[in-house]
Amino acid sequence: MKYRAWKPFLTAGAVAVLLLVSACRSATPVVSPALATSPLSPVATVSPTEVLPSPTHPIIPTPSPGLGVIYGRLVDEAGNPVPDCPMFLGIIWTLQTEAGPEDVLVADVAQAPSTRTNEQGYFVFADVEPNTYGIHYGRPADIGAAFARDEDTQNALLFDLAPDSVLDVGEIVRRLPPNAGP
Amino acid sequence: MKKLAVLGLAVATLVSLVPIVLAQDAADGPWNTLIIVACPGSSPCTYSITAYNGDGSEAGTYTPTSALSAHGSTEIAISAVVGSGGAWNGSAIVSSDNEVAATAVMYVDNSIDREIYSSYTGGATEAYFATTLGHIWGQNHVIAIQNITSSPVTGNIYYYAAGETTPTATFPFSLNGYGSIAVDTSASAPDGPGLTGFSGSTKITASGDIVAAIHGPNYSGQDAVAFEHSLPGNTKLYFPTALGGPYSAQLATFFAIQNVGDSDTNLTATFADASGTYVTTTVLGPGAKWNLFPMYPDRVQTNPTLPEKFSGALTVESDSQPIAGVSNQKAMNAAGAYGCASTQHQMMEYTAQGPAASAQNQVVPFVRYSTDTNGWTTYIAVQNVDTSPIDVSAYFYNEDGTLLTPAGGGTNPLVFTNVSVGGKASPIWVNAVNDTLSEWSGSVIIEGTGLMQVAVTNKQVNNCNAASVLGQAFTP
Repeated sequence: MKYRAWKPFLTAGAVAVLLLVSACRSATPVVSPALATSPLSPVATVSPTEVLPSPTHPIIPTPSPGLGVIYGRLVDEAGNPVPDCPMFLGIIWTLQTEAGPEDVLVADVAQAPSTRTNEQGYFVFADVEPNTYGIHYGRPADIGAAFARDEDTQNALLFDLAPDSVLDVGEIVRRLPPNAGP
Repeated sequence: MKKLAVLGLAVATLVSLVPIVLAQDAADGPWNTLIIVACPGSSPCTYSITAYNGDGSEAGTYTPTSALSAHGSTEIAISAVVGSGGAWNGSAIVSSDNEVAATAVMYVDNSIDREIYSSYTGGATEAYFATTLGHIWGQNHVIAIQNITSSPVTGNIYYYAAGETTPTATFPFSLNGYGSIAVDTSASAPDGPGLTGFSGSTKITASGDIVAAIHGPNYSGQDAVAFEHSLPGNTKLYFPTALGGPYSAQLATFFAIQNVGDSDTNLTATFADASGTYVTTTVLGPGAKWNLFPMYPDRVQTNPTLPEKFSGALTVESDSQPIAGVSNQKAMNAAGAYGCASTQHQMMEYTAQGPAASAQNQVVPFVRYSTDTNGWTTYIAVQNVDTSPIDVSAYFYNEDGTLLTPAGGGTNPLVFTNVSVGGKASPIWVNAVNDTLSEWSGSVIIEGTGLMQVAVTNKQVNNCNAASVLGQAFTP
């Protein structure tokens, strides 16, 4: 899974700038826990229409006090948007294994924050509790559904969402198994 | 693998999963385990999932923040954070204040294969697999065993080559309380019996209650499989699906019947469809296996002669000794060869159970429908295993516990009347309730006016991949 991130935590002003240049894609994967120490600034109230004039972009809501917003875009390996795709946030469950602590991600579709991608592949999780999340694209067990991972290390991408923040996770590439359907 | 058992709670249903493997596979990526939990009754289910390490120590408990709605269901995807080097093998138990049922799916990120198996409500000191393979015909089976008690157990896996009455190999095991083990049929000692090229069956004995499942990860381009163990003591087995190429996928069915007793037994296999019943018999020695004919779609079946493109059910009865059985459906082409264009061979395996697993109320926790070519469609077959014709009603519930609204002339419940003895009500799928959907997930609760057995086929829309699982009895 390729991951192209712009910047993890954004002020409202930065949101505006970066969304207007959303075609800019960094090739540098950004993976937590480095994000855990990122300083955060409260997001000012900005009308989404002011910063997102294009209908191809998602409407980024202002988070309710104490909550946050996560958004990004799901594309296929050719860079085409993956529309109408269910998206879930997974939380960390630390298992005390025989070899020591080991983190797994858990996405419970009855509990997890969920959304769907729009026609352009954009997704927005609005008013999410602050936490560390992984992003699961697709309905679990459907072919090609998985937690977003770094393409090289196969480590799950984790994102720390702070209160009153808007988190842009950038572009996530859905990778289908080689013998999946068209 | 999962099972259900009561553990110190007034009403508790436990689901055990063996094994949950989250290690990275270099070729295919990290493993995922999906646990689907359904709350089939009329009260919400407050449940939790406790994970156990192989040594039986508790690894942790996942507790949802809210209860599962009555008639509701959920899917819980679990995956390792670390893609390489992370490795947790273990089992899990789902506990609930009200009765739950569960299905597990194991899969790798970069593979279309899915291993699906059902939960159990309790264990036994004996378990059987009528089919066990060790690196043969592109298949390799791993037997996972879980101790469902808090006390240590010891036991043995006996491997019987096809037709043999004495074990080819014996693999001893010891498990701590709630411990589990995964034994690769082809692995050499001390990890396994080292049976490469093995085709046969297995019997597991233990000093305490265990449950077991076979899983066969993708090997040599074949489809992955998983199926449950047979319970001891059955002299009658039910196979709700017996197909001889009735659909476009040219599904054919193979049956393996094992004599798990001590002496010869007479077997009677009765196929049933709407047109009648068709019977064949054989004598099977102890430990031997009857490979009941492959139902190739291009042939008129003989012994017994079945109607062309047969679609029915099968009941196998033994007159004296206990038996075990496994069904395997495959996609075949018109010449009787594998019908899949890719290297993937669609295989749907489930273990036949007997009268003890039959019930008038059954739940299917994982029911899926998607028009996406990479999605799943679930087909349910309900066999009448009672002594007179029955009516069957299948209720489709959304994950939030509400009834799916019918559309396009469909009804909810789907009702099948006067289902013949030994025959089946089929196909039961969501499109018959509402054909306007492009995607749906939920559970199905099936009520019968008599005893039923349920088998479930999950098939991808446009991939040569599928998996089968059993329905699960519950008390409404």
